[in-house]
Amino acid sequence: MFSHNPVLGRSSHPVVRCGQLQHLRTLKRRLAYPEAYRPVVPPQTGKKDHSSYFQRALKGWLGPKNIRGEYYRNKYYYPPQNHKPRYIVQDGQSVEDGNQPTSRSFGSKGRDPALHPFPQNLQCTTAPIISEELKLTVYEDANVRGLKTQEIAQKYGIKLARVEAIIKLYEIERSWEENNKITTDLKQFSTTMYKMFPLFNPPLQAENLTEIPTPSRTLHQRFLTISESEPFGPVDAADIFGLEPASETLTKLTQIQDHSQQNNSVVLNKVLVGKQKEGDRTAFRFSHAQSGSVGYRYGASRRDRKKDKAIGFDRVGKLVNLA
Amino acid sequence: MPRRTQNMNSLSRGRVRSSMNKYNLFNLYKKPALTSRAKTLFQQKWTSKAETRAYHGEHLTESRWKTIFDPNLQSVAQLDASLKGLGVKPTPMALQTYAVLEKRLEFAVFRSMFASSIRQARQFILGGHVQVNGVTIKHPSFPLQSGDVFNVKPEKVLLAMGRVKPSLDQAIKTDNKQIVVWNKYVKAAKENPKEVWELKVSKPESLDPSNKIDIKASVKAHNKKLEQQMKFKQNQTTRPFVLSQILAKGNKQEVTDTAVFKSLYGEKNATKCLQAYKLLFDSKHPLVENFGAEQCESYVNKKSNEFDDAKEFKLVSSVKQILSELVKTHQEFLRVEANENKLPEDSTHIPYSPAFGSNLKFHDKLDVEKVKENEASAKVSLPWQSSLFGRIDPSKPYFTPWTPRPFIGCFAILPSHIEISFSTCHAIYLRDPVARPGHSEVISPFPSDIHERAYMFYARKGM
Repeated sequence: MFSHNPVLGRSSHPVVRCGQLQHLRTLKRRLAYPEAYRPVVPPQTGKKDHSSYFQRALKGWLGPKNIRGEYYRNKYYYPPQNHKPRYIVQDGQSVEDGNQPTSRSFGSKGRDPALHPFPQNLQCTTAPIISEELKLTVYEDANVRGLKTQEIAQKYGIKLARVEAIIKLYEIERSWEENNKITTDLKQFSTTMYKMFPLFNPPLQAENLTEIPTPSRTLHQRFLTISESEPFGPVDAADIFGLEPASETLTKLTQIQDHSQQNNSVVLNKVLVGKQKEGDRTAFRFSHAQSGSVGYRYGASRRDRKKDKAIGFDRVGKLVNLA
Repeated sequence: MPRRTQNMNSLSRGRVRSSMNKYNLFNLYKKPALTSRAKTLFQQKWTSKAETRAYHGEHLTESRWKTIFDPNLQSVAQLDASLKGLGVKPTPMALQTYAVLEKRLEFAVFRSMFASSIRQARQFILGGHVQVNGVTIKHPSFPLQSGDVFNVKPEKVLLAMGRVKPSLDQAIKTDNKQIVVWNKYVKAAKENPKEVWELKVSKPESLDPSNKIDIKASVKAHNKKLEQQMKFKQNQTTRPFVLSQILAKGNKQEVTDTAVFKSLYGEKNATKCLQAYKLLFDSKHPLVENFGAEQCESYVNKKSNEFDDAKEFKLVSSVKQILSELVKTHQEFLRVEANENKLPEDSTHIPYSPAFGSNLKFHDKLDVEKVKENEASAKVSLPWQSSLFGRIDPSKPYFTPWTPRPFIGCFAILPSHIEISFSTCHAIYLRDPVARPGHSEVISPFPSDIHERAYMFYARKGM
């Protein structure tokens, strides 16, 4: 397709070729706007209109504006409310006026604009949202029917961490409702957002519960010389990588464990509190510690003033140097 | 301190940013696929890192990012992959290049859609509006761990994700414009109701899902209204009422025949009406001259023992019988008529009613000076708006009633690694985003090959 670039006033066919880069420096750069889906750019209105080419292109792309300031004919202006996202499609048809053909489409093949937010990255998808009913059943499964979180995860195909998060958030939501903290505006916001995302459909979209962090050893190649007749399978490969066979890991993953005890692993130091005599403003506390593991050794170099210094946060959210 | 920047959403530079800005959307729309054609390897790496860094943490300086960057990329292996026996898709490891940034609080707040850009998320954090596990954290770089609950003040979220609140001047201006257009419409509808109605019906459907006209509900309302009108009319048609109507009609005309009563209860009942009138007229009853509602009622409801003679009693009973018949047939007629006018439940449009034009009311223009002095004095009652434009509650920093910000649908991407509760503005960070076969949890507009070159730029050693 041949088109005329109104900014440069000449053909906008590619001018960049190998060996011409030196020459190109003196030229103006070509504007980034693929011709295939370039909409009709409205012309400048009158002498005093100094709007740039792209500003006018944007205006054409947005479409007409009504008194309330809404681009009411633009397909993307209003959020979709049918659990079917409407992500951007590069087809030159952002404005709906009933006259344009709708058969042409550009961008990556196999892209679903209701799933892939970006035209060029098909490996990025929006996650499905857990429906309100499912959240309620998950909560009831855990608190009324007394199922273990791992059982719930298996039942609906939701990862363990997500199941725990759903239960926790549901409790927060309930307490907010009881305290009347959810205003009408907030309610409106949450329902709008909820209706914007695809719904989680348990048997079909079940998450893979057998995922484990990829063992770092398997990320590199290993070479092994074996005789041609020697059998070699996944178990042998695991042996060479120094890993347990996948079947063992799988059985460990599926076994129901009690996670409730794990969080109580706070180590308490032995503390001596000094006697506070009359007139003393301070009460001394001596906590038991191992020499070498606390404090700084005099004269030893520290990286606390370097760019990559170790930092952490204390209980009140204050930043502290760790090095 | 974020990196200083100017004209972030420049249309000619055309970078894609992590922001929900309208200009950014247009930049994303017109973004051409990056090619490696006619570029040296270094040029490829450079453009790739420039493009990806413009989206992933553009507010961080290059030296800060280089200290954060971790060349060890996180991915997951699926143990049941071999059991399924399907071709396993390749894992987009390169998309994990910027995964280390996603654990920062500012990124998580933006990804949970509690802020409209990363820079805004930073401002919310620095302003003390964000808490992690109930503790206010004022550091945008706070690294989240799995299981951390974070929340943003709902008012800030509504501000970020809602429409911009118009200033008082803007609101008055908009409303006066709307009122002018509305009055024009009402005037036209009063002059040519039929034409305006047809124009209204043929108008293309609104793209706004909140503005969709529910045909089913309006059909129901239409039918209900008809039913109510019918009930009212049925209750009105009583024997005294019918009698007074007949007498009024008969007394108006000099000559009394069936033609006179045609307009009352139809052609069929005209003879009955005449019969009743004749009975009273011939006996020279005082009621013929004086046919008020009260007199008719007392006449009809007179008990049998209250009459002076048998003749009068006979007259009354014959008149009453005719009236009862008339009432019965007319009530039936009303019922049938209403049922005929009712719309079927699956009808697709509301029929034109002649009262359409006259039902519309003109709206007074707002007095600018008066409203500026006292905002509460503004009285707006348009069919779609009951108060000043976007300022039902002027104390709120966002457009009230809350309306989603423009083009929000294109940027609303639900992250896989965060579980969000929109109604409480709380979210739980489940884990650092990972890559699995065919899917990456890191949200990025750029494909894997661009990330690969960016990774090569920073890892130096290649992949």
